[in-house]
Amino acid sequence: MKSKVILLSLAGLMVSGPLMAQPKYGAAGCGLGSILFEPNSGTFMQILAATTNGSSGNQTFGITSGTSNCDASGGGEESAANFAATNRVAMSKDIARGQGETIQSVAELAGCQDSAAVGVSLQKNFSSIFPNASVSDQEVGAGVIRVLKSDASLSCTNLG
Amino acid sequence: MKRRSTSGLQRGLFAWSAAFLLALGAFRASASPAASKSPPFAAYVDELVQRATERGLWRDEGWLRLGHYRPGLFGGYESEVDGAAFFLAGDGKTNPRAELEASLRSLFTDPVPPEQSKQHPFCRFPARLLWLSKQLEFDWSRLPQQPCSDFAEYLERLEPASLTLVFSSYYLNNPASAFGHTFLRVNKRSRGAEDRQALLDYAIDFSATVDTTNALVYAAKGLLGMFPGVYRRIPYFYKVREYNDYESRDIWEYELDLSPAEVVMVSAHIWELGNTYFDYYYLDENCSYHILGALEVARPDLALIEHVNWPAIPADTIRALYHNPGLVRSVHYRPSARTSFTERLARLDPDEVDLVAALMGDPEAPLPDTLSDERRVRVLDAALDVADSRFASELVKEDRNRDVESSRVQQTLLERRARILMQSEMFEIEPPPRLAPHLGHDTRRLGLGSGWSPERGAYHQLGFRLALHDLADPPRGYPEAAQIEFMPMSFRYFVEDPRLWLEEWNLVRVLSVSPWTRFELPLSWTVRAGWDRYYDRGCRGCLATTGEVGGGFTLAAFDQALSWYALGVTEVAALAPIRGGIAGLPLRAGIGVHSGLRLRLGEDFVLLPEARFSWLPEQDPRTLLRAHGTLRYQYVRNFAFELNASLDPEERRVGAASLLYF
Repeated sequence: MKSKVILLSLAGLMVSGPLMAQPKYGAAGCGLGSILFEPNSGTFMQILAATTNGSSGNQTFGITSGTSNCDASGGGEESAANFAATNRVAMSKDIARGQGETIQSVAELAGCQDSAAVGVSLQKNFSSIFPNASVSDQEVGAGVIRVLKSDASLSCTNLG
Repeated sequence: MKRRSTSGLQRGLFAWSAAFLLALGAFRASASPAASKSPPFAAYVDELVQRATERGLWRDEGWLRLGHYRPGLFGGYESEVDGAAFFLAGDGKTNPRAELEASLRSLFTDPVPPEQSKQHPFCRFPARLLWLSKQLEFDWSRLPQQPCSDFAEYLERLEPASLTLVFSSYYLNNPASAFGHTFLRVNKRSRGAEDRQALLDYAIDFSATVDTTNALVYAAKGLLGMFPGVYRRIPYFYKVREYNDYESRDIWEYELDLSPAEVVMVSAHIWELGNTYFDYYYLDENCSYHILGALEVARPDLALIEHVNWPAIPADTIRALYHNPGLVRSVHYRPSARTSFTERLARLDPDEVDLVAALMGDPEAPLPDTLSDERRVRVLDAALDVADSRFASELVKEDRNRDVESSRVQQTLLERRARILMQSEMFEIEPPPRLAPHLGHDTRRLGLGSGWSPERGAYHQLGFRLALHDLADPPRGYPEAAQIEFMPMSFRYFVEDPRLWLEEWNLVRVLSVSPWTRFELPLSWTVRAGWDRYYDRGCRGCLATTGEVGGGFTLAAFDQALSWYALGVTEVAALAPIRGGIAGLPLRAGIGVHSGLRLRLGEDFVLLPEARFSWLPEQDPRTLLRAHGTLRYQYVRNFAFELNASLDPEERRVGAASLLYF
């Protein structure tokens, strides 16, 4: 414990002030298309840009620019919801199958203890999360959170 | 949320500071972290500068790498970094010595309030600080310290525990993937019992910032280095969705064996690079090159960039890793959507495959009542993967714009699958060793051979190709169904009637032969442009400017060891002494069929006979039949031997050649 305190104070060398600025998550505008491509560029241009690794997509993600509102990798309720929304298609398949990598990731973001149990619970509630094909990505994200919160046995501790 | 944040923060700082402590070997725990106003620091900084000068520290490989300095053409050094703010000395771009002194002095200028800390050199250059402190054994009690909240937040989110170099593979039916792509992944620490969630790690990508939608301007600026190249940090799941799902490219992950301190060093250096840019050159200073440049600061004995050739191809970066024994700790493979469904289908019984096909025709097609739940799960799981692959282009559309029919198919299959309350088995695919990119031959090719033709006698042949792979080349490490060549050229020297001529010089030659399956009918296609010789009565050994495009289909068997393709092609030739051309002009145009049979024998042999039949309407000759055959054998990774034969209307030849890849 003592060594931990010392290490923390060492870290204080470069750290001060409140670290956790509350990130503003939002699924809108964070879809794959909006991240990858300039909306108006043609197919040929997209191919050319991708072949030579030119980025014509938006500049949401810099190294030093802090937290983007499309960054759903930090943990917590909004980030879990945003992850589910952004990974919607892969998520829908994993939920229908009751297991998969996106379920494990959501379980981690939401602070759930047992991702296998999360998979069982989400699969059982598939039709409430994906009631029809036209449900929006954001509603999918909200639906996943709703299920995780309603099942107390999952004890997902990161959900507010 | 709150509780988690706090503990996450503590853990983050704990791990980071542990590594930090390692890096700061002589850092003393008794150092006071508080900084007071106008202390007598200047004298100590002078002392450090003097010590650094005496030791010639600026010449140290570690320092040169932090500044991305390369030896200049006329002696001296020049940094590849092009953003002026990266340098603290006025002439820092070309003067690593002045830059080192300026760095020492600027790092310890008076601390500023936290909200301005991002501007302070102490916070902008943490990797330089780490490196200098270790080399010069700073006495921290005699130095001012600047809190860096932004950098700390960056580390806190990154939680750097290890690094992985990621290679996103080729799939030529998506031409954007022609060369593959590499980027870095910063792996978070694992959290206890459950496996680490790689999707939540950060990818560090180097890419050009493009400011034009005009393809010609784009090409010109890219070749001349007129786009700024910058590093970006993006959650890894975006990359997986992009490459695995949307573009159907397999992903290979090479986890590196680096110490925690080295990982922190690279992470800190990426922070430094995040504030600047490099002129981006497609052919050499590109994504592959600069990802290795960032990685090399981990430790001075890493030899990476020196193993990247010109032109720099993403797969080179993977092979560069293997020049450093022990650097690759493990290799992990993420199959693309396409690979997944192919593999799922391969694991089904034939009658189950029939059911999948029925579901793809009608997602509500009934499954037999006798089918067990286990088998229903397998059938529906495979159908879901087929649908995902088939409708991949929907992935980049916003939810309200997605295609109604494809959504309905997927929704129906998903609902049917979810109704069976049984968890699917974890679906694991072993990485196919044959395709591992680090086993592939090198990028450029040199060929030296001899041959004989009844018409022209004995000849020697010299060939060169700038990049990358053709269907007869050694198959290890490359996709089975793709040929992409830049600047293939060859010269022939005739022994009996001594003369040297250019046999061919193509700018580009692409052939994509993805096989048809029951579930997918991909287009096979080809594009070629350059100069080639004809041997017929209208063009007797004449060198013509030619171009060709075509499309068709491919059938394959035995896991693509045997494939047959047939393409309808249009070919034009001009700017040559062509007789009997269109309207008497030296111009030739034909349509025809280009077909080939490729047989891979084991891992080392490829046999490739090809034939082309062309019909030249209203021209002489009216038809052309040409055939060519190659048998190639790879005996070590970068060497191959071939036998070849060609048949043209007015020339026949047989030959042999040695091929070197380098």
